Amino acid sequence: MTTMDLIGKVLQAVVGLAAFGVVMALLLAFLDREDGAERKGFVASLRDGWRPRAIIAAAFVLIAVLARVLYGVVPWMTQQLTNTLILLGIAGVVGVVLQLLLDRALQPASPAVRSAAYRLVGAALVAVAVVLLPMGESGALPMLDWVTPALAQAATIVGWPLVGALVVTAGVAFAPNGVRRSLRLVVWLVAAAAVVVSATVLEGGQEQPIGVWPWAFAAALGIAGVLGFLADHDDDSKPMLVFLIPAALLLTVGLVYPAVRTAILAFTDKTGTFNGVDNFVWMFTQPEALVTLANTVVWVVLVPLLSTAIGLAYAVFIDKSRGERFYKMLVFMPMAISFVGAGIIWKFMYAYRGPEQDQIGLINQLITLFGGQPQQILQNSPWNTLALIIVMIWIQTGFAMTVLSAAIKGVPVEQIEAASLDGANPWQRFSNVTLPGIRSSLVVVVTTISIATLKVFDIVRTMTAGNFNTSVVANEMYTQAFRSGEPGRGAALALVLFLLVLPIVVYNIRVLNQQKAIR
Amino acid sequence: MKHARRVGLPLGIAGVTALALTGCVGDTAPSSSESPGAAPSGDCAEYADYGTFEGAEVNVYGTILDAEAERLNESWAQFEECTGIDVVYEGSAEFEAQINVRVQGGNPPDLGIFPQPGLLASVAGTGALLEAPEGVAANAQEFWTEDWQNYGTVDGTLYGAPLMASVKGFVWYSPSVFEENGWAVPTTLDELDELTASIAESDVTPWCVGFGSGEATGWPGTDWVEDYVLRTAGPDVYDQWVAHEIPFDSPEIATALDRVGDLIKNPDYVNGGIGDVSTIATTDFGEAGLPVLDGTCAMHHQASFYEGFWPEGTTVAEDGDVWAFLTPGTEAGAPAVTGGGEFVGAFSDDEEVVAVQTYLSSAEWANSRVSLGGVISANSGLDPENASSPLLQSAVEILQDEATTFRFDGSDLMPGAVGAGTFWTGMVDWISGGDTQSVLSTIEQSWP
Amino acid sequence: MSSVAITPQPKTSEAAVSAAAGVGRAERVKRRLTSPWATAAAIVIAVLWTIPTFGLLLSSFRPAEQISTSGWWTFFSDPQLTLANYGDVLFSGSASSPQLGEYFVNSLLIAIPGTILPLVLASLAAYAFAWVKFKGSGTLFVVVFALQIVPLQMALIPLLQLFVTFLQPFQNALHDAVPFISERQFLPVWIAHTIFALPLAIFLLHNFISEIPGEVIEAARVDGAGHGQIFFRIVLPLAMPAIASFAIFQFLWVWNDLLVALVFSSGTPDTAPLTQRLAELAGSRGENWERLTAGAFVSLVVPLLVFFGLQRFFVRGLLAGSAKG
Repeated sequence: MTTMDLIGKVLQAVVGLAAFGVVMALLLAFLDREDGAERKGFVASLRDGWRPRAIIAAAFVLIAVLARVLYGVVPWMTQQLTNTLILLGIAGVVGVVLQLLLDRALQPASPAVRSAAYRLVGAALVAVAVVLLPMGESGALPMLDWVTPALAQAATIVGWPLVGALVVTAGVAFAPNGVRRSLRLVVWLVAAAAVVVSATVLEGGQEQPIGVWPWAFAAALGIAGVLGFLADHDDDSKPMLVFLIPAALLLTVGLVYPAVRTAILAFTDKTGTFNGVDNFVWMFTQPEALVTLANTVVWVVLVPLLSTAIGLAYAVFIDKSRGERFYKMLVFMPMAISFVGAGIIWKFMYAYRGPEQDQIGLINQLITLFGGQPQQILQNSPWNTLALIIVMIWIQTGFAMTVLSAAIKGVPVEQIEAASLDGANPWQRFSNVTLPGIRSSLVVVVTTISIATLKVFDIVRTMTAGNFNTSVVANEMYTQAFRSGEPGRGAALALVLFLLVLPIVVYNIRVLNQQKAIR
Repeated sequence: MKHARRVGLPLGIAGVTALALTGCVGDTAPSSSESPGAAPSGDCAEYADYGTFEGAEVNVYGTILDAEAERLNESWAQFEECTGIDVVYEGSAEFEAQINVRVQGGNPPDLGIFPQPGLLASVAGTGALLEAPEGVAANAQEFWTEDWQNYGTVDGTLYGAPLMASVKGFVWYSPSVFEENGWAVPTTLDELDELTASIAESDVTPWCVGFGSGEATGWPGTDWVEDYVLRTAGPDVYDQWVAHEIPFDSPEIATALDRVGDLIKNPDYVNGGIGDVSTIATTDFGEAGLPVLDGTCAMHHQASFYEGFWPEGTTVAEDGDVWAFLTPGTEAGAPAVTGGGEFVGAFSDDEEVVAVQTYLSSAEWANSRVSLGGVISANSGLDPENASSPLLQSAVEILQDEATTFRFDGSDLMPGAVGAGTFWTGMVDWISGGDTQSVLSTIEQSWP
Repeated sequence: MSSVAITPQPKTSEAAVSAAAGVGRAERVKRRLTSPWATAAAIVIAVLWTIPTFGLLLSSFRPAEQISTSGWWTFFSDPQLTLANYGDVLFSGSASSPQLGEYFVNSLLIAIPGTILPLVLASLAAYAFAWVKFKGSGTLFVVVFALQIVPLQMALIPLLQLFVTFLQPFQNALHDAVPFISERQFLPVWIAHTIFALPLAIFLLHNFISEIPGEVIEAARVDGAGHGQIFFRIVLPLAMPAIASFAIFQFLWVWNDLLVALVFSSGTPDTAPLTQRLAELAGSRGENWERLTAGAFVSLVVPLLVFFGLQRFFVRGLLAGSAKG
């Protein structure tokens, strides 16, 4: 590895984290801005004064000048980068001026007028971009010759609905409060739909599929609309936008969209045509399918119960003892080993050799030591499922122990003192004081382990590959979707998995509501 | 002061605009300077036809890992130097699953090295794979038999030329142990049965077998079955069976499987040096043959690549520690073999990709790679002398022999649901005590 | 036999118990909670949980052919140690697949942002769900919670499509602008890990953040603090133990992940993490598993260091801070 490579890599992390930090800081600054007349500090001067604007404008000018000067001097300042930076400079200066003019002009106006004016200006800017980008792509504007056809198309598909939405919401700004909120929500949702519809229509006419990004944009518009709707309600909830938008966006793109896609996929065959409930029929007519389902149920009952129980017991036993950290480390260690590593370790433990040979697996060594016959532990159904479950328990106990141990330390010492003064024995103190004190942590631990258990497939895959009646739904799903080329069946199994988790979700909602009621 | 600033701002804007108008750089601007590159050390004349592509990069994705991947990189090092193409190879044990993910995700590599024709066909079915370019097609015509070309062909379109090859169906044994006991290498299947029976009477167990291979557990069993189907039922039935023109559980297949069962499900014949029949399913195939060395097991059925599994210091030769004979046919002579190999499919038709793909299908590459050791190729331009060991030389000769009937490993040709699914698990069920007919019909039912 | 070497003998704990008898409230409580039986049970669990790993550790130092022919406990009667397995794993470098060090750097550069990004986003979101009242808060939280069950495998392909469409042009542009940053970057892996971690992170942190006494936050609000100030000055310090514990787990999951890396990292030394390299070292047929034993321990070192480093946070108690406030 050359030093340059290393620098490049570290730079990625540093720049990435720094950029993230700046974005979050800006969001939070936006959050704590004050709507009132009182303005203080730099933010206030930004609104009122000349100086900060001049500084910002100068910075933009500097960027553009630097780009032009460096072009041709250093190799990494490419033509494209130079043009981009110069454009950035122009856009920045224009932005500063516009903001100044608007701010000045609108100072005496009512909030409704201000909101409408900002929206209209925004719409105009987007419209300009939407008009300019395709011109750049067609070569009419040399400055914009870097615009790709895809980018121009994206600008058209997303830009016009956005312009429309901004213009209409500007008009709505003067409507009464209640109507305004609902209308704005409707407008944003319509814009989102428009993006999808126009993308679908355009996609029909060309060979190259547009891909998934119109959906992403539509989702973004929809989220913006819904969150705006919520935030409009009362002033207190506005900050929520800042706190939730980043997470909501990522989740929509990365999980909601795949979930919807999976749900649709479950009713298609491998060529992607709709085939009704065939996949589910297949699932429940396969002889092994019922075994797989039964195994999954056994897993999800035993693993959370046993690992939580053992983890809790261990946490209580070692609580405040000397060497507690060391003890914790011992049980925590399996957590730090990857599933694949755990698979190797336990293959060792369960290894089998014929009775006439030296055993290399500890379990069989112990069995033969006490005069028994060595067993094919991973092969003898149904005990082999139990053998795999032990591996998962071995891993998850560390999680339960760590979280519960922390929870136990949160139980006020005074309460335990009081209980012992009342003559409670250790078990009573535990069940009457400690246990209620850590109830919510217990729920969290059991829930988390249950879900992790349902999703686990590495252990089964590395240790038995689902043979000998040990398969579980998650393993079967992976096999079908990626190995056998049957994504529809994989998706159907994923839906079944979801149904299995539903009870856990419902229970947690109930607990959540109880807590809310108490507060 | 205030006045000055008011003037300054518009001035600034004007300045930037002027810069933008005059400063935006056009096509005449100097492009990134092309370095002539280091002077190639070797003789580049034979690579001249491929052209030069300074700074070009071609991504290759495949299943080949570790030391094998090293040799792969070494095999095209000279080509890279002369053409300026940077061939970036990425190997993954998860290739079979990941290639589907990448293709569907819109992020395929430039070239994929497919270990199974079935996988090549299914990826070609998605429309992502490109037809083999002219140079590749010409090379395939010139250097490979029609059988081999057909394995890279889907619906009449050639998608890729073969890369390397392996010969399956070798039976590994210890020449010295055979000699001491007066056992002779069998020339027919019946003789093999007789040999097995006579070995069983000595204190050596005839066979050691292991089906274990992580998530692919069961595949060594499919090799047994394929070898026997090809030999007992003939190549025509084999082709029909693989193409599902006859049911998977046809009588011919059941006969072949039963014949395998006579050997490796017989408690007297297995599992030398490891345990009883039940150990076969879990014993790792890599370790299963090792008892041949210490004489606790007489024979081990495994492909030519098993040569690399013997511990360091083992001599593989006709008079060495271990050697192998090809599983015989029903009659002596006229060898029929099963084997495997890789195929190179392209997801891009950029010129540099075409150049690499064409090079990989050439006899030059085959000789370059084979002389680095460990593998062979069915490329007819390959000089058997280049093969790194006596065993590989004999394997090359078998492949290049006109009289040889070659058939590709059947499970690699079947749809993934069977060939990498129920066929594997079916063999595990079968060796764990499952009855031949019911195992075969379970696999038949799973055929998509 | 191994237990003697690696766990303290029961006597020590008992001695500690009797020595602690008497002064101090915490000391008294401790005495009453710890019985010899409990100590014995704890030691049994500790030994049971440690033996498998210990066996692997010993195996990783044994010669390759011995690993598969005799049990690791035979080491005690026939001690034979070799560093060959570690040598194999650590130094078997070449031009195309360099030594492990580079992959180590990659793993770190993936795991650190892969831990920080989701934690920041999740703690913000958890605060919003717990303490900002808005319509639909409950429903939205349930949706986020339910997203935990979307199987990772099902999200891989759609996410990859999105990355190829949106992220790749950006990455290429970055590479063009700054040539010594490879066009194969960590960005997709970070984003993928962030997305997959968010539901669980929000759920866990929400549980702890919502247990902060309401009076503390009300008081701050009465003093005129904004949400940003409340978050930074009150919530973050109080939730630190919870954040630290989650950070450990998230770090472990990212560090040990193979599936996400397979899909979103390039697989080349530019971005591939340790796990991917170790899987390759095992050989295409998984035959070199003596290397896996050594590899498993090489990759275990960092997670254990992280555990030790952050342990003090949750030893202090998850709600210790808020109880004082």
